[in-house]
Parts: sequence; structure tokens; C-alpha cells
Amino acid sequence: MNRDVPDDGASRRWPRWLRVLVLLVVIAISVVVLFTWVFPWVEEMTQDPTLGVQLLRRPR
Amino acid sequence: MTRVVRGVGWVLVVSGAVVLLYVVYLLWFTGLETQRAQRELAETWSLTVPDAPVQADQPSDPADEVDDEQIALGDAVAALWFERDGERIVSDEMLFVVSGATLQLLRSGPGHYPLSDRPGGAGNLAIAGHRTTYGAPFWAVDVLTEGDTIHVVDRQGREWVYAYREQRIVAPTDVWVIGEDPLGSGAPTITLTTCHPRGSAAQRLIVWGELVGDPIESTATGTSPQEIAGRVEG
Repeated sequence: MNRDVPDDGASRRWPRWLRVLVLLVVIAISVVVLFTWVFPWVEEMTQDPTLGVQLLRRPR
Repeated sequence: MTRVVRGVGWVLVVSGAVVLLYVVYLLWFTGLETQRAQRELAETWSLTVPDAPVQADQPSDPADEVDDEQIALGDAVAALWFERDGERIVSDEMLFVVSGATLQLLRSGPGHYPLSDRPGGAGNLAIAGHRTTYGAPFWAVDVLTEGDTIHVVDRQGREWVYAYREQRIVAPTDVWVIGEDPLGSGAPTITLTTCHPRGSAAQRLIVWGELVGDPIESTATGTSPQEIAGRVEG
């Protein structure tokens, strides 16, 4: 099949600029989530040399 | 269907790459940040701490006394090293201990639990340090054995020597280890806390030493181990 020839479904696809925009937004959100929550959480779970953090977070 | 499989494949590949890069950053590049911070602390230390140390067990000039409350978070409160038969062990470099023990502050080096005692104090001087990452200042702290000494210089230039006593692996919730008298000996104590096993925070490795010589008055303000453990930000 010739990939340059759009099939019937091609007309229903999002325009290229919109797909690129969505991809960029997803990447930006992922970076923010990773650096704001995921990496600090991983660091705390694997690298915290102090005591009592878990104790303080335990429901009273 | 093929597009979905291809999309999931790409997501997995990118996720794997991100995790890999993060691990590489943690293991090798965080040390650069700590090295830079320790260099800056050393420069500040050399400008503010007297070169000629005063006799450790003698009271220094009150005018030279630095009120612990005045030490800003992240500033150096002490310098620390370890010796065996006069040779330095654990770390080749002198470690500058910062005020505060949050993960952010520990990026600069070992951190002093703010409510624990000061160096040379009659209570318990508690210090936390990374076992891996951020320069791993306490990577080899488990090599300490009977006869080894822990040396601490305070901001007045007084050198305090603690004789190694014991080490123990405890749960992260065992805050009693940084209480006023964790060994029950009544002697002034130093407590070092770090991760165990290496690369995991599942447990804590605790190292204790006892002060050699007479202590000075305690300035510890934590009334319980829970309070000391909970106030890592000063």
C-alpha cells in the first residue's frame, strides 16, 4: 500500500499541528509531574537517611 | 490496533529511558552538587572559624560563642572526620556538617538534627548523612570498629573527639536512637544516621560514639526523640 495516498480514515485524523501540540503538552505535563512529585517521592523512599518521617506521617 | 501497540511500545521505551537517566543522575551526578556545596562551606568555614583551636574542654571566650539559634539552615555547624591509628578513614575529605537535616539540605553534606545537642555538649549530637548519592559521605561508615575515633570541630574551632562505641541497624521509625542518652551510659554521645542497605531507605544504620574528655553544657532543645526526629528543618 502506498503510504503517501491517504486512506478513507485520513480525513478524520487530527491536523498535524494539533497532534504536535498535544504531544508537546503531554511531554510538558509529564516533566512537571516527574520533577514535582515522582522524583522527590522516589528520593524520599530510597535516599532518606533521617528517622521518624514515616512515624510523623502515620495517622494518629 | 497496530498503532495502539506501537504507541504503547514507544511509551514504554521512553519511560525506561527516563528511569535509566534518573538513576544515572542519582548515582553519578548528584555528587557534583555536593562537591560544589562542600567547597563553598569550606571557604566560609575558613573565614569564620579560628585557625588555632581552643582547648576543647576549656570554655572559650564568651564573645566568640556562636549561638546555635543564629546559625542559618544550610550553614556549616561543624566539621567531621574519622580516624584509625591516626589515619583518616571513611572519607578522605573533611566533611562539613550543615544545620538542618531535610533531604534538600542533605544535598550539601551531612546534616545536624537542629534540636539535638551541639558538638561537645553533654547530650547527644545527632547527624544524618547519605549512604549513597550526593557524595555518599557515610558510604563506608560501617567500617568503624572499636578503637576508631570520630572528630568534630565546632564553630569556635574546638576539636571534640568521640570514641566509637557501636553500630546497629534499626527501623526508620526507631527515633529513640537520636534521643538524649541512646546508649543508656549517661555519657555525651554522637549519633550518626544513614540509609541501610546501600541504595535503599528500608532501614537505618546507626553509629554511636562517646565523648572523650569533659563535655560542655548541653544546648539540646528537643524534649523527646520524636520531637528531634520531627524537626529536621530547625
